[in-house]
Amino acid sequence: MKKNKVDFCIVYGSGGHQEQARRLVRNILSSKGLNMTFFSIRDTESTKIKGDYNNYKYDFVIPPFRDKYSKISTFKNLILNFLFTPKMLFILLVYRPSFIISPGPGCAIPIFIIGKLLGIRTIYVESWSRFYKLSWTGKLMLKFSSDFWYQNIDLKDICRPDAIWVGRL
Amino acid sequence: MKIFVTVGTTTFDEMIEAVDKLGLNGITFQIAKGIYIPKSGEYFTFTDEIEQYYEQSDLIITHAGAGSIYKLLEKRKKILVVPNVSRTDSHQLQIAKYLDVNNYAFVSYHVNDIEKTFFSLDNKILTKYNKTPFFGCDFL
Repeated sequence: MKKNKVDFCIVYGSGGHQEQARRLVRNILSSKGLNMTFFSIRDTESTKIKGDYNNYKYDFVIPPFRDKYSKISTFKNLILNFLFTPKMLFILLVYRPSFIISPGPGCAIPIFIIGKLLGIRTIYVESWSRFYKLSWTGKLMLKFSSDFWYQNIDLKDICRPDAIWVGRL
Repeated sequence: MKIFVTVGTTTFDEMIEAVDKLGLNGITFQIAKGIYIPKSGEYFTFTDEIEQYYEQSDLIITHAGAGSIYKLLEKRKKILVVPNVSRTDSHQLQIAKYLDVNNYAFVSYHVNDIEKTFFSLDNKILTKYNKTPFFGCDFL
């Protein structure tokens, strides 16, 4: 079982979330060591992180959490996410990352909940497009992620006291 | 002036149409899964080489997606930003306001304002974008 361990898990969705995830991975590897291993859990609207990595171990795909154009689709996705829970639990038990990190969006919520229950450090990074109001995911993550990081200092007063401003990706 | 218009990964037909109707030629449009087909230049849906289009352009008209915006500002490009308010949340307005308040870009809060903003670009000198680079790894 020990040889299955992967250092960290990156969770993300499409568009700006994927670009932030790409930059997060690049930052983590250049700061903490290029031999750190990682795997991704991402929603169906995203693609694998591009880059020349031989330590990018696995890539899992789950349904998106919310449809930005339709509330009915969002409800359907919530059901799908619920059905994926056993798979996510299995993945985290097998690969036992030291931390799970995500720039959102909502597809990270079920994984963070499961991760937290398993005692894994969960780091949520609020989006770089949020200056004056948190995202829906951010508002939820405020309540239970181990770490809450934000990129725009204007958000300071509406985050929890132990939230950390981390500059911009 | 070489103009490139981009909507990122989400559709924004209203913006494509508004720019199309400016009466210009030779514009390049990235329209994603949009259904409005522009006539005042060439268009495509997606590309892996968007940086090349950025490099070649003098002005980029873009939806207010932060990913596109930061890449463009980091490349010191002149941009006109139009928030897409047809989505179910209005978070694109936040970055548009941030850019406007700090004078980092031209902003049209409504597609109807694009024409007015475009024809008054020379009246304003923008401020150079700068940011505090990410240092979150210090906390890992």
